[in-house]
Amino acid sequence: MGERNVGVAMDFSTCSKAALRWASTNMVRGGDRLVLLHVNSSYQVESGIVHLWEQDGSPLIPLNEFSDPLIAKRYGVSPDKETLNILAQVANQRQVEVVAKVYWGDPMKKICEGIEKIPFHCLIVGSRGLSKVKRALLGSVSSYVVHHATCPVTVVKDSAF
Amino acid sequence: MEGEVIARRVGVAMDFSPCSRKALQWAADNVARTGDYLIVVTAFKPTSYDQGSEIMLWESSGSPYIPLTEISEPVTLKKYGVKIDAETIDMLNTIARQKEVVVSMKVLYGDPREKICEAVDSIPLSCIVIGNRGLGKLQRVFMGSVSEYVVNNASCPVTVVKMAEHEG
Repeated sequence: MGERNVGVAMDFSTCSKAALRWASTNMVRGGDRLVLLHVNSSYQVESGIVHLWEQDGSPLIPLNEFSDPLIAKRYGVSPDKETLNILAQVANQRQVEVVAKVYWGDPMKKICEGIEKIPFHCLIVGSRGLSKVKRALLGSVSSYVVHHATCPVTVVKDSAF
Repeated sequence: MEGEVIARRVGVAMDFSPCSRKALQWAADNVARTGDYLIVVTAFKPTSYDQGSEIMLWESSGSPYIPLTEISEPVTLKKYGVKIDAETIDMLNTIARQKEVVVSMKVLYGDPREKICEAVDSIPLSCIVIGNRGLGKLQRVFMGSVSEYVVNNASCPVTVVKMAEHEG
């Protein structure tokens, strides 16, 4: 079947975690690389590190580094325990390589860019994110990604899991 | 991990267009696991021509689960009013054999948008795979109206498989 890069868009919202859980139990299989994709949409170009990665995003961050709060902070991310637990389970049980990729910029554009560049074989997103604005059915980022992504996109709703 | 050994009901919405065949193949290659049930869900509005045929028996509840052996028989087409192409039949047989999944089909009568979403709940389906474009006459920019509706309204995870303009 070959190796696949399975992407999961993550903004650490409840729905995003539901998407990660679904991906880990229903999509990911041995030989895959699970890429947790996070986009920092609000940031200040403070450190030289961020400035370096602004265009193409961070390198692929191995899970053990991503799980270290000090290292994660350097990438402008604070992954919560729940997310890290799910990722650890995937990495342990299934001979799956788990990495994270952080982008800086507009989530819609960066996710679609990631699909082409990494590249992703498929992408899983939650239907809603952290936005307080309750759009009809699909959040603005999820909606954009479903329409514009060049790979198959799975939308997971919060209630689904 | 949870769900690993449990047989799932993986749905593939089909209108037998090239894009829906692409969705079927993708589901078989990427989602379906040994022991899963792969259920092809197809829905259409019966025309006045269909009235008086056996379809009237199934109209409100939808067809029963049609097993693979019946799907491959021409008699099935007449009985349920479904026009399945030879390529799809071939694919389903190969998939059943190679992926070791139980293939069946459910035919629903009415608006595909609503009927597919209803099927997600009534079967129920663990997830559903659908193509972004179908046989619809109006070629929308990014996604057909049925796939758009299903992504927004189905209660299970929905995977949209894209087919580019030049493909198929």
